[in-house]
Amino acid sequence: MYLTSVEEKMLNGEEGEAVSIAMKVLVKVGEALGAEKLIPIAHAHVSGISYLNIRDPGLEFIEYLSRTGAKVKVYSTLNPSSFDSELIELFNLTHEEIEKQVRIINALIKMGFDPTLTCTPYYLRKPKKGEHLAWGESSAVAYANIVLGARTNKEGGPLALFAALTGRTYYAGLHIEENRIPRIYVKVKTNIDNAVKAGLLGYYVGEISRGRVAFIEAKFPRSEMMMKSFSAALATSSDNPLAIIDGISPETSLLNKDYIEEAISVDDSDLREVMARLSAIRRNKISMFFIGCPHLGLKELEYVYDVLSRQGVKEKIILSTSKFIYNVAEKKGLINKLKELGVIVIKDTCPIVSRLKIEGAIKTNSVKAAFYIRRLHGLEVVLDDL
Amino acid sequence: MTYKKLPILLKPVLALDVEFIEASVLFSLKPISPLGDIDPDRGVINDPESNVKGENVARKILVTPYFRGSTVGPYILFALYRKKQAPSMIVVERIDPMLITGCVISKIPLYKAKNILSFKELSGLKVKITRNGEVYVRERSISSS
Repeated sequence: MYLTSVEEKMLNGEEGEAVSIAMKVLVKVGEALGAEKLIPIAHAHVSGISYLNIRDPGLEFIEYLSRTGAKVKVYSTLNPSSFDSELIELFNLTHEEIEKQVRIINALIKMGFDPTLTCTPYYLRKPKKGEHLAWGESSAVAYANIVLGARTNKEGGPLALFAALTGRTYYAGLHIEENRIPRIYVKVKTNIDNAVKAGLLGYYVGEISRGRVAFIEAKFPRSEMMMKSFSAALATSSDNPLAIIDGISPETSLLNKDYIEEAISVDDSDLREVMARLSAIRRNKISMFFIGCPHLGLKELEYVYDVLSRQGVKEKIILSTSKFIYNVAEKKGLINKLKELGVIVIKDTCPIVSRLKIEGAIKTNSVKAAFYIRRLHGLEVVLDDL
Repeated sequence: MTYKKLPILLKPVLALDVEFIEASVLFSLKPISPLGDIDPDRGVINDPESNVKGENVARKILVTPYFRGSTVGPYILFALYRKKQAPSMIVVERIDPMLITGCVISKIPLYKAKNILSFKELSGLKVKITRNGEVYVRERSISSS
């Protein structure tokens, strides 16, 4: 792989042990994926923050890097953690688990990460079209690629952390324009008019595209909640976190009929089939309605409040968002209004990466949440819109 | 000690930083998920379906088709390294970003084999592997095996 003199120095340890390890990993992974060079990134976003996921080995590694004095080279953000410190009574965690989660966060903040813990880093810093990123949260990666036209692969494990410490990633996968060209044309013959349907479509397209980029012709409204739901679900069922939605994605000009290998149509029955697989039969009583996977933005919080204030709150409702959006909403009086309705708003965590005290089944409007909560926590999940 | 060169040439992904190593082969037919299949404190394979269940990966040449599973995998290899329970080398047919990451941070040399089945009869034997991927076995090991 070609390296600049600055990159060579990082590799050779002139900027310390952690940067040298980070560079070696990026070079070796890049070489394995056929990359000829590294490229500078504008923003790194690291997943694998929850102590419940990475446990002692992850804690030890992050603390080790932090102890070497390593610092991030670009703006860098973190995924949600395993609890909300102001609503600790909602979580089923031991003192040891909480203490170790705090150690992980502190070690990362010492390295220069933004202390907000969210799966929606695009609200902290909105990427530009064509900008190179190294992000490690699948729903955010898909949103950046699909909705914003930024370029990032799905960086698993500590790869995004190494990108943060070097300000580089390998030039392969979705960083290369040719790999972003649609290979499958999907005509959607049903209206996408709510977040659940958008998620079912994303999940279905992810499955049938088998790693290829899909071009989607659909009546798809420019709704933040639907675009996020689609992106998160697509990244759940596919390892290629990019599709191009006509009228939504900034890269529709990449469509070239010569590259299309297959054309398919999707109708209501296809989405109902996905729904049947992901939405559990109700054996248990629903204990709460969860909305906020991915974390809610300000407009979505306003929309949820608007709907709930008209419909009334008939069940336990938990919303999740980032501390950043929460603070903005609090200043606008929105958090208080939601609390007055009896709604709980948790921040910087979510039911997937935490362990909420829940008995019975969960209702959610998120296909991604339905997929993971059932698998990771063994709970029944019912998909339903607001 | 005389060695017999075997008709196997491994491709270095993360090459040895010494001329060669000599260690026992631990051959796992089933792909390994570091999270769940290896005890991060003791290095013992605890996958009940594994042909090497109960064996220790520490200081072995660990041979398996590929690694699978969670993105926590690299951290498990790092935990083994810190507890001095890491393998001396890993040999696989297929590499992936998580395995490369785990091996770099844990300083484990990583080599690729065209077909790992050629290691099956070497399981439990001491072999010598050179930096450029040549594989040797002690003559005595063959006759006594």
